[in-house]
Amino acid sequence: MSKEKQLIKSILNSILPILLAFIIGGIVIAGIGENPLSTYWILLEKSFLTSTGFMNTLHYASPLIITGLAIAVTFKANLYNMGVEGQLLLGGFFAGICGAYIHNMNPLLHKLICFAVGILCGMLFALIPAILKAKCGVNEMVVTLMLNYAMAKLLEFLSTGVFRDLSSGYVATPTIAEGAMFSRFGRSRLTMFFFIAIVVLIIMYIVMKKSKLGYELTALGMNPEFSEAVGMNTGKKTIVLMLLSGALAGLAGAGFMMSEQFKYTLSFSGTPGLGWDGMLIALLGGHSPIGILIAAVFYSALKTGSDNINMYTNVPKEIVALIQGLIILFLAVKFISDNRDIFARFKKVGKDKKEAA
Amino acid sequence: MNKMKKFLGVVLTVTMAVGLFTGCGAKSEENKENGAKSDVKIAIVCDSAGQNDNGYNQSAVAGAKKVADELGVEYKVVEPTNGVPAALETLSGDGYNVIFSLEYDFDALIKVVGGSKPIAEMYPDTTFVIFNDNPNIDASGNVLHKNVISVLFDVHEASYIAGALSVQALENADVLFAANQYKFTPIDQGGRTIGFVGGTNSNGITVFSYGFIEGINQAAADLGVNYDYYAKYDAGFSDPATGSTVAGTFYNQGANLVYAVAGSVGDGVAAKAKEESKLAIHVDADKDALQPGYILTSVIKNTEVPVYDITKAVVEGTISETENLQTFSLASGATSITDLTEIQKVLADTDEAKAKWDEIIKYLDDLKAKIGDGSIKVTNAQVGEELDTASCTNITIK
Repeated sequence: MSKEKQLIKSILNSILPILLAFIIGGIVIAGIGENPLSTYWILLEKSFLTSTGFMNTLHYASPLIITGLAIAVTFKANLYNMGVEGQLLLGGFFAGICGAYIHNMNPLLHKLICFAVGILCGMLFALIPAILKAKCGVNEMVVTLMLNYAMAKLLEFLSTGVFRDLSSGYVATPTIAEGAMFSRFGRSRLTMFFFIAIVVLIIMYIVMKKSKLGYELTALGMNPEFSEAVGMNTGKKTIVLMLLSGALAGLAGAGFMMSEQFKYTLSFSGTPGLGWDGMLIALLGGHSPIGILIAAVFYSALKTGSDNINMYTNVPKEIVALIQGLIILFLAVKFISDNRDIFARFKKVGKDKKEAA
Repeated sequence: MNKMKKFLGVVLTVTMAVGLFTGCGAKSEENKENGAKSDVKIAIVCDSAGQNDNGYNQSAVAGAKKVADELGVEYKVVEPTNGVPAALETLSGDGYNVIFSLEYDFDALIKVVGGSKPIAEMYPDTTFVIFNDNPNIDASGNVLHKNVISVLFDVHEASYIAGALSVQALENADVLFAANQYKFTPIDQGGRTIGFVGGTNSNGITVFSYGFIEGINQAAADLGVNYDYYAKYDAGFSDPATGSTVAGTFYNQGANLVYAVAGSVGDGVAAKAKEESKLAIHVDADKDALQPGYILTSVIKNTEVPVYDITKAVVEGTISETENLQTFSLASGATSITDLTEIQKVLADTDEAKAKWDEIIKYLDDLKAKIGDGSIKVTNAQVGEELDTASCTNITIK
């Protein structure tokens, strides 16, 4: 297949599921008795066509860009870091603690410290499964997935106990100091954190596309045994990639803390959580940085849009959840595979049946 | 490649066809039957439990519906996905006059966060109503924003009554109920045990527990017995299975009654109570009929009343005269225990049982009156009061 065809194919593979999901979503909206086109128009208008709305979309896309990258950098190498959610929570939590308990510090330095702490926490959490995988061959998918729940419980314990803000009526850590907060631009919610996310994206683009590490992770993803045979230290690379992924997740958590939440609550990351959203974004974006950027902005628009749909129409917000679910479902179908498109697959099945009969 | 084009063509055709068919859906209009018209718009911002939680959110929505029918105001129910502050800003910007925010999330509304002004200051013409806490005061107790109203329910008092009722019901179980109705742990073999399941360890939840403890203590002291008390404060609000598990543990430890203040988790507690043939107490709305006969009572926190009252004040233009802190007491009817009709259906059909039941009701009314005139003071964790465990002589908190 030529390069051009390859590109068209990968774009189609991302766009088709979205289109189909929206069509089915539209049918459901029509079934409720609302007008799908006007509903989608509201989604589009409030997320992209008003300046504040567009800036808000970018704001909510910021952590998603980074979590998407955190997922992509391991998935591409056939490693499965399912712990991005937990790493993000841990990073966000301790960035928030540093933000709240350090006073009267130079604002820039304060933010840097919070970021550093967040990144370190994410890396620490990722180190456990990485070492287990590299040294003992323990399946990292299971370990990272399970640790998420342990982490959520641990942070719940910490935020209800030691770091509890007693003046608050519900479980929350103290609000971070002014100096650690990113200020908003005008009336929108957009902050500097978005531009930090973009810088991270550019760096990751260079790492993934132009560096030796990027080449190695592609090779690792294609064929780990071969990579090992030609002299790559796969164990070491596993640890490096997991640490990189954890660092990104921690960074996303810290940034989200300083630009949006300002304190850790039990619903810090929302449902399903930024880490899980990142997984969908990485899949949508085909694990490439540019794709992730587009997917994150799109997904963020869906999220912002669901609030607006809820406010300006009588369509329940669950519609957006339905569309998200359908996207995941259709993504898994892979309409155009490497060798045959979907129709050919069905035809082949038909032929096999005939032969069997 | 050709096949792909064909497939795309099909997809696009379908899209257009769907568009054609649905391009003419009419928007449903709020019908105002009695012709009352008002240009006031109100919005209810739900908490994480959502608008169909059979309780706290749902009764607020019921209040909005009632106001819409009577006064012709327009209402909107919002379940935020991008956080409460974002929803508050959008709604204020869209000209909603009153916004009821049911979630515990006031920082952006009251304080300066992220370098932007508090939302209440940005939209001075909007009235914001928040529940279960009063963050709208500075260190010296002055009101910060004139357009923010805090609503507190005296649920500690209703819980106190529920606690007293629990002890009375358990102590007199052999008289009140038919012999094979329940499988209580014998009262003298560890059966003097009551459990509590809370959603999260915060003042909004402990306020129920403390009042409940004091009520149990009062009734136990009056009868000269001692009770054990088990509590779990971090069961969350959404998973009935958790409630079922925790309640199962308590019942196995001998508890005969578990009080759940944890949203849907309480449904699991009530289901377990039925399974074990013991008792549970539910919360927020009258849910006694959920497991008839196994829910002793529910502690009602009726958000309908404040939603209705405050909206009415806005429509009539008297909102500027209302207090910024509104407390709904036991006497107001916004918080209470239920009318006990469900549990009365399972009382034994004997004169003795009826007489005992009347005696208990009288006892509770007496307590209510004492709370009303201030001779009984119940600890109110909502305003930061701590439970004085030393004064609870007849209850052991495990």
